[in-house]
Amino acid sequence: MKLRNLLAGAAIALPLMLGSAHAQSTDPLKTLIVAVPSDAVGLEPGANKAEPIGSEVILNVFDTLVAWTAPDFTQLEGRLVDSWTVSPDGTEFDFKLREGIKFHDGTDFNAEAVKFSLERTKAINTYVEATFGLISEITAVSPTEVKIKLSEPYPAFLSILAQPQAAIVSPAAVEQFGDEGFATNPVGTGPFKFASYQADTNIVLDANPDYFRGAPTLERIIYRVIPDASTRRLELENGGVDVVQQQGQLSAIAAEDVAALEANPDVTIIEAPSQIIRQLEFNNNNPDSPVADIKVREAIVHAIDYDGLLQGVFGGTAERVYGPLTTNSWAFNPKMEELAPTYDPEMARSLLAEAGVDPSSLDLTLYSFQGPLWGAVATFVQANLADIGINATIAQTEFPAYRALQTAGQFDVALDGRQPWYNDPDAHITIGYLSSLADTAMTFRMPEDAELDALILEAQQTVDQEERKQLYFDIQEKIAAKVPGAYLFSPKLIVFTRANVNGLVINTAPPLNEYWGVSKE
Amino acid sequence: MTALVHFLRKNSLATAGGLVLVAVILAVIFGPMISPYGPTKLDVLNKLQGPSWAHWLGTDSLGRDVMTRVLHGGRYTLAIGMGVVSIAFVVGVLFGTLAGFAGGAVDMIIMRVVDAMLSFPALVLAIALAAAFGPSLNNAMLAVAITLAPQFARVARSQALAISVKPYVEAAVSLGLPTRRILWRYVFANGLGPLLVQASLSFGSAILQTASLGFLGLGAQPPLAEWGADVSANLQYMRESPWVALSPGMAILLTVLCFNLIGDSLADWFNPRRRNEID
Repeated sequence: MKLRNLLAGAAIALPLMLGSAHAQSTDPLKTLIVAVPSDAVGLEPGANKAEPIGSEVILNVFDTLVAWTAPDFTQLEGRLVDSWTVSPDGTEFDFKLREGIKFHDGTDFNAEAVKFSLERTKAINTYVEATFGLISEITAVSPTEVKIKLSEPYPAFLSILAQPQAAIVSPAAVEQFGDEGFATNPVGTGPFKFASYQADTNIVLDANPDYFRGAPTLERIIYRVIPDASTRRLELENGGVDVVQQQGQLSAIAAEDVAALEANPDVTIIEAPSQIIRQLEFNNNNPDSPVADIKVREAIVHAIDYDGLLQGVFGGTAERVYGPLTTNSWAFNPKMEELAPTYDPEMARSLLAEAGVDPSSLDLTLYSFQGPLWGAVATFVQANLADIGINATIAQTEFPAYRALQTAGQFDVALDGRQPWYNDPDAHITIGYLSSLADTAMTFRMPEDAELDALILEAQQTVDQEERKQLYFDIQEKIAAKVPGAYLFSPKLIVFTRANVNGLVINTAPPLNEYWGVSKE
Repeated sequence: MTALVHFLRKNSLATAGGLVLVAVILAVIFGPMISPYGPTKLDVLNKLQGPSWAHWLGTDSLGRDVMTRVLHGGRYTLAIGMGVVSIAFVVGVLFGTLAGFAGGAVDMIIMRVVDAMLSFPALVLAIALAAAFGPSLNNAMLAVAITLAPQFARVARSQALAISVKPYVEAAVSLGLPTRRILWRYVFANGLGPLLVQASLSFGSAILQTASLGFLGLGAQPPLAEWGADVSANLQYMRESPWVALSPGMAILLTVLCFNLIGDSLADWFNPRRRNEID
């Protein structure tokens, strides 16, 4: 009888004790709750298509070979590698791996894992075909040495290796779960281990106490999917969430939120310049289009009140863009600040007169993405055009249809933008302006220019950084002279956190946060 | 005229709705003429101002006068209501009367199509159609008209069925009058009452549905001052500057309410059983 009571007591007490241990591990000061607007897509490098939330999870669960360093994210450091060398012709990369690192499943990180991961992404992730396609051979020279050969020189390749798609996965886990199952059971070497995922609800990551750079201070990160912006803000104000992610800035204007939260002592606002560029672009590939005439394009770029847009619409949450690169790019040509068009409606009108174009005869359709941010920008631009007598009708178009009509070149003027994911001018220039790509989605539609294309490819493949910089300086001036569009603004990356969250540094390209060094008090 | 006076005296709600509606119509006709602002005139330095003497309903996120936009939007909204109901009325009544009068296979085919359309929730069908046509105000109106037409067809058919067996129609047929004339002069003209009720009730749904499409970005495109689109565009400022989204929202509410009050009273009026209670 006594024994039975004892057993019964143990049966009750044991779960209670376990429960209290569990409660300890979810101490609110050790748990960071991040509000995100939508579900993550692709929680592992092989399935990731640069979707921001899944990508950020990857950067916290996995490690890349190299990574950008805080605070300005212009320098790469070794992450899973100790050091590396690049051959003089820029086609061979030799990496010396860090030793003693283990994946979350206990298996060893080594050269075979690097080879396996990069080859796997190359084989199954079509999104990175253009860059991973350059890899011709990966050799595991020894367990701690890897050699990657490219089919042609590509100095920005190291930037590619810092992207989430290039993160290193556990080969044993991929074998265990299969390529499909791995997406919901990601296993890497990162500061946090994947714990659970509920579609459209949350993602839970737990600390990896054995992380090679030291255990993170946080014990748990919970990503909560909260689609409504005002709910996210309410939750932040009430302390229901600790961090509100910046993706909101891409579809809605944060100015009012910033103004309202600035006075709140419980909330910290972290801002960083981005390399995102939003522009009004012209289809001057179509000789029948009114914007095929450079004078008309010049007139339009002088008709736009850039400062009015930045102050009035964005209330200081966006910055001026002077040309094809943002001012915080290492290849930005300072001369572009002088060359950039100024707001001068008089000049715009006289340019139209010079071109022999009666503005009232122009009836343009101004294509725009959907959502309040694009609606406001389109309305502003339309009013600017109306001031010089050009009538433009706004058409806010669904994303797939929009891309289709852009690639087909069925537009005259359209709002568009690019968010580069690696800190290299290549990310804006090559895809944006290589005229031989003009029929693909993201390229400015300009008549083919073999000379400029050759220059862009030369800059892409030049190994010496200073030499590359000069080439990009030249390219920026050449592109600006062609007036491919009006560069409207670069939205700042804005993250709202509770005031007790410390150590969060916003990464600018890609705009993904690492939570290893974050703590709460 | 005396009938109208009688109707209004017996229906205080309809009278109230009618008076407010007349006020709304006058306001949207004359208001924009008096307003010193343009509906699309930007003034970003004075954005999101609260209500004041200069801006009775404040300014929106681009500094446009909200009052002016609501008044301009009213023009579109009333025109949208008219346009949508007219299209739905003509199409629905044409097919409905034809079905009721002809009977047989014609009736069968037309009414099954009507049933199929009625089996969809109206707004869902309108969203699907508007998405397929592409976002523009005209397409949104067409989409809403298509979803409203089956209701007119149903009413018109039942009227045609009831009327086509009346002695005066039989007399007209036996006199050898052309079918078109019989349909127009006897069947349609005598069945008009319930159709007018349907029209006045549909006005409200037409406005509401088109505004909903505008809200979803499938209707009016910026910077057009359509009420639904304005509610949607300004929703993000709801917490700091509620007047910007509330003003067009209240305008929708008020106008739809007026039409529904009038429509309900008309429905009672044309219903013999209810009418006895009213009289």
